[in-house]
Amino acid sequence: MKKVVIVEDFCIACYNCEVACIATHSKSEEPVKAYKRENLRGRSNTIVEVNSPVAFSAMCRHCTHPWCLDTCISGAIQRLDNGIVYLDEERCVGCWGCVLGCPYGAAHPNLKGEEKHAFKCDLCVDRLEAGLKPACVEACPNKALLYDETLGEAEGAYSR
Amino acid sequence: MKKSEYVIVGANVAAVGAVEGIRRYDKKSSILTISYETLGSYSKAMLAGYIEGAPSEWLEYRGKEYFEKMGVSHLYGRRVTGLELEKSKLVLEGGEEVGYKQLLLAVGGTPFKPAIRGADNKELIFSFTEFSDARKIRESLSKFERVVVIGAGFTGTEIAYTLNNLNKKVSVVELGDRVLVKALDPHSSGIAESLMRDQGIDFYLNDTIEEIEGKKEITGVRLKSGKTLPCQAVITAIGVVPNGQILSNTALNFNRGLEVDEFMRTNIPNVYGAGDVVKALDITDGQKKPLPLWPLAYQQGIVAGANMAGGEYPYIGGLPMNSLKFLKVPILSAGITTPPDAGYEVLSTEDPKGTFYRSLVLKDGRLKGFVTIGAIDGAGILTGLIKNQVDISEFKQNLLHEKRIGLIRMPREWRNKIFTRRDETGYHD
Repeated sequence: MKKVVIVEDFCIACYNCEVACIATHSKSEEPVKAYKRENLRGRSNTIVEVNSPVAFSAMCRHCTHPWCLDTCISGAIQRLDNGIVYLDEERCVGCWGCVLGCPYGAAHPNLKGEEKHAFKCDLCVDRLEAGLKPACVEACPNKALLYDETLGEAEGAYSR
Repeated sequence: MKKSEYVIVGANVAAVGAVEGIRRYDKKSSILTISYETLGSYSKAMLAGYIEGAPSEWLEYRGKEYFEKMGVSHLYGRRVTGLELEKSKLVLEGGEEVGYKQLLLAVGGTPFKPAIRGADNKELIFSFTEFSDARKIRESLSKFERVVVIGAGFTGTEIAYTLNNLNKKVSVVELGDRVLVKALDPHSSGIAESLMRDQGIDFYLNDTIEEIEGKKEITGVRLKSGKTLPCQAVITAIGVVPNGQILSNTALNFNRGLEVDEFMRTNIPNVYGAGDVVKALDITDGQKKPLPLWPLAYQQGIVAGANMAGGEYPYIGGLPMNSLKFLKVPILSAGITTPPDAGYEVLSTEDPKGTFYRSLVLKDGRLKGFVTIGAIDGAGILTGLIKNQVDISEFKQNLLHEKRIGLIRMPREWRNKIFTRRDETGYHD
């Protein structure tokens, strides 16, 4: 399965991926409106982590065995036919099982306001269907995020 | 006689996992789930939401379409009364028989009910384990104002919190000296207790119920300490024990839990077990014991299902995990939170305002458990570190103090495996 491959040596901590993620998952699909009117600050599904000079942007790995799915009590997290591990925010009850279960810290709690739900990367499923790449990949100026087969799977080492 | 390649007794989370596991290896053969519960497959972990008014369909977390898509048929509202394992068949209430090639017993747990004087013939005494319990509580809401909950574990505190939200006056009686003893360390236990007291729930610790008072209707409970708590309803929430009902008087090894091997197989080759009924391997101490926890049941179900369908899929063991989802301030924990002996290192931190607390339990530089309150983003990284037994000596202070736990502190080699290679969840997918 193609996923977002993270190349930490190339990341320049520009945060373009976070902005692109928030914008593409907003109603307006415009960064400034998404931040200012839709109150989506902090709602990026990918998170830039920096310990200068090391930096990278990390998001859901769409695991073969997703622990977030194991811990989901509401059925909000399901695997789509194309392999994407998808979290339906409408169905999420905010039990934080996925936050506790994901070993990569890639399922995040939305603790602001009344809306208690988790959120995570959906691999830009709508964009993929339209033949586009995930927004973070497209926004990355230095190829620190690639949309590609992950190495282990490309080698066939663990496929069955 | 009705026949199915795979028969699953039970329809909840372990059974759902098993369907997933079976279909990884066998896309075609028939799967039949049987449950005495009329609602069929639903999320027991969301029953509190039903009591608060959600419709019952909301509990059906996989939905009927899912089972159709997976090619699963069902018999709901039908109780299995007999197991004829040597003939590979089951007997249902009413005498109907069902044959199988592979059987999964995902029969769950039953609430542990203490014998209490005065408990007989009272209407408003409830358990809080399955849908019928939740429905009874919901239908009786108008009949009580004050309620006593026995047990301050996960279910006890959850139902207490729920009823308090519904404007009932709730008292919790707990034999132990603190709340949520299995999930939390003493300090975080105190934080959880004060969060609930702030909402108006009363706690009576180191105490137990001697007698439920009242002739036909409950008027109150008398505690061992001598106090009397007026109430009209009592809820027992002491925990569940593996349900051995239909398993006794069979050749199955059942000793306070169904014994299964690393493939979730019982002592009978074509019979498997998963979920609250089994004694499962706890990876934190290497012991096999009942661990009635949601994610473990689901994972055991996947493992059992995969092996039933011809896979070679060992169970790597379960890690106890808890999310106190109902509290205003989120509390997550996993693994050993209260060290059993002096061989552990405990690190903890708290901000003066009391909005953030975290404790890490280590042994030989490796994480064995944690509690985090108020700051939970990235907590799963700690869960992953417990499972993978990475030496965290170099960055344990970061893990303790940084509110958002990130992958940036991990050793680069470890991180790069995740970023560019396969997921390292420990399962041999």
